[in-house]
Amino acid sequence: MNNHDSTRAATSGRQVSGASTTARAFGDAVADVLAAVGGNARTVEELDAVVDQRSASAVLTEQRARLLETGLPGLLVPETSGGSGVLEEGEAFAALVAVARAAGAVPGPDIAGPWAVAPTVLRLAGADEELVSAVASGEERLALIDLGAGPRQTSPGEPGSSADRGAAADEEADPSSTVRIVDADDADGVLVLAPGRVTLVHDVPLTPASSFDPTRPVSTVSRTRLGGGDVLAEGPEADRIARVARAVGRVVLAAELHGTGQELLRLAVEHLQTRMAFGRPLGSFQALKHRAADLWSELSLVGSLVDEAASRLEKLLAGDAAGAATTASADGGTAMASADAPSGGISTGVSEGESADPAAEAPAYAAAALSLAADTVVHAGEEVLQLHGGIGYTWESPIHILLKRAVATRGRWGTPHELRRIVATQFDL
Amino acid sequence: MTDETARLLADTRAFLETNPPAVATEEDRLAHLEARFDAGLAAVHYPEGLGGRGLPRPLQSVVDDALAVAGSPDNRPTRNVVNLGMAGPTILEAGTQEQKDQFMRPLWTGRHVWCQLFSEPGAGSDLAGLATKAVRDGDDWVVTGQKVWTTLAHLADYAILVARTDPSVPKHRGITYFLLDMKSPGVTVRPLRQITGEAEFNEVFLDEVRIPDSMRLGPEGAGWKLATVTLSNERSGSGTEPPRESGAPGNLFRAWRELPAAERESGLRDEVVRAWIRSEAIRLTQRDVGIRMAASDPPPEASALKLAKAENSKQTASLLMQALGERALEHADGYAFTRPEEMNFDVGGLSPSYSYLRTRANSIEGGTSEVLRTVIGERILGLPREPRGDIDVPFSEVPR
Repeated sequence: MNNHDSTRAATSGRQVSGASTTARAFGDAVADVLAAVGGNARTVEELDAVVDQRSASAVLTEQRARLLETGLPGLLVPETSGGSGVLEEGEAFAALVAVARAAGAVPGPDIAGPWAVAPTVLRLAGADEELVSAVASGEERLALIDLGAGPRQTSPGEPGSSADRGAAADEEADPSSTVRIVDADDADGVLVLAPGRVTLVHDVPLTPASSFDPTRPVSTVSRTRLGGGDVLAEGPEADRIARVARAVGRVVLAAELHGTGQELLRLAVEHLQTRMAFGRPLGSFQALKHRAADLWSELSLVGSLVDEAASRLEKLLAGDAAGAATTASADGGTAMASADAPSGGISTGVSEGESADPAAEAPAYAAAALSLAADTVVHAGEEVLQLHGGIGYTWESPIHILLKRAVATRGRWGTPHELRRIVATQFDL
Repeated sequence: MTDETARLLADTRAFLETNPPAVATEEDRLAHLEARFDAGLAAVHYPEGLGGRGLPRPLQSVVDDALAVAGSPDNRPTRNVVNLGMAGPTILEAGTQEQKDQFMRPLWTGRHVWCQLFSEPGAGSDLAGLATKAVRDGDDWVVTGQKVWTTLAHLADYAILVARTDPSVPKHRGITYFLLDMKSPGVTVRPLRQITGEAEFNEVFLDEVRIPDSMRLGPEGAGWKLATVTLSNERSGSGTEPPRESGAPGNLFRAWRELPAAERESGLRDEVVRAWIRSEAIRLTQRDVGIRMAASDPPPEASALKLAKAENSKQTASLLMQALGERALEHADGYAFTRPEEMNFDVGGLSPSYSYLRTRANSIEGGTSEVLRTVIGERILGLPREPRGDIDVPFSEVPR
């Protein structure tokens, strides 16, 4: 798959600890496929093709087709609805994180929206079986848009009262404003998470935009055009689903960023080992070696936090599935209600030592993981570009592809500042 | 349950039958631990006859859990870091049968206190540049030099010591490892006062101290290799999972919650939350590394973790001083010149100003952050070494 297996092993060095054999095998298999097709947009011509043709480019089309073959769309779908069966084993999120790590290293299509968040929303909303199995088989690809959680019902001035906003929260004051949507221009439908409503809208009039990360096409759409569609959930139930959906999206993006960071570090190490200057390899200079070591150290911290968030999310969703598929049960409902950005004020005691309910903290851990991953990996991209000198500034070098991915990902599913508000509220900081 | 686990459990229960865990005095406690050592239940990965059974290290938890449930006293592993994390593994690796028989039992129980005579005023990170010399004289070695940063030297019964036995060969090859009786004539211990006012450490002066050759550990000239065994265990000494919000970061978050709401609404909040996330990521990484360390030797990641932890403790302690504003003008602990009787690297629960001062040492003690970065760069990432001027020349010709 590449010539740098030893470096890759050194720079990744992660195992999905405790993941079941099937879940791990599934994650590894999809990750291998991603790594195999990863070279696609690595030539200047191919990258130009992606930039010029957006989703229709042969590169993204092929990558999407290869991912469908792996059965990835069925990962988070129950087996009875055409899913792959991994979900029932209880470690589907460990597998998903492995897939996302691999996806972060290659210039491929969005995974978080269509294959992680969409199936989760449909399952929690008790959506039509036919739709769910169409998503599981890959026949139907749904894009996601998050219009934010709306004003929270908390007293003014309370910390965290505006914590849990979606990506488009800043613009919610103006209903006619434009919102952006990732990798959606040939999707079969758009799932819209709005305050008090989860809907599935077909025939959304998308306007192609020029995207900062060329490998993930971006479209714009006016909020007013997202109003119709089939209602999947309403009221507090819709908000509950949206909170879990955001957490799922955040964990996937955090894992992707971790993969992006590992790939950046691999490239930096390769460069420092081989590039000669002043009669010796660059990597022998302490000033550069120590910067690479810091990057490795920082990235290694991201992995454990992402794994923890995934494992807590698994528990949260398992609790929900056990309670009820469509309506909030006593158990699942309680866990969910306190899940994201609790408005009721958490006692200080909860934050000292372990919490009583790891699942209830899952959304805060997801926010924490994405915040750390975004901080760390954007910084890694900027550092690795600099460590490459002039080469790192060229279109030919793959560094800018990874850097653009990291920077663009930072703006999805909550800005780093919003993410930290969620953490602050959960842990009374 | 495997046969081995079942046998260990049965043996542990049998041990508890004959050695009730209720101990009244310190002497009782030590006697209980000695009986446990003799039953091969001290550390199952130690060899048979030396407190263990030559079993895989993870099986120790079977014994420890059963003993903990019964209320059996342990050997205070966090306080006996030099004994258990440094001297013990090195003696097991290179000691003669006589040395192992003489030292391992009192070392493991804590009846003997050990200290480490490695660092010197002229050799810290560059430990192989040490200049304390040992000259052969009949059946003895005569040792002269100065050691520094020696924890518990004033209480120690024995020391692990590295000294130069041959200055005519390159620096790493001329070092020999010794076990030193701290009551030997010529050993002088003086407290070394640090920025907190206390003296957790000592300077140790060695003035023509005679060490019998039977107390040499390993072959002459093999001291450097053995020192790396000692130090790799030092860095792994704290590989357990701490609770959330412990140590210096825990001090920050607890104090932060107690600040008036208006002060918490400052721009500092974002930094505090970042610190919380980072601290939790470090704790989880420590847990994951700990799981792997229980199963095998310390992975190189242990060095990386030490780096991240040290820097994070410093940052969070500094952030707390900043958050306290003018309250930080006071230092209630004072700067009294005291001499602690046990090692305590954990500032959790201690005052913000003391924690701030004490954590300055975290990125220096047990391997500086700079050395750790080099270890990560070269051993984990495989980056080339820096050209050096002290490798292939006799130590006596190295500029110092």
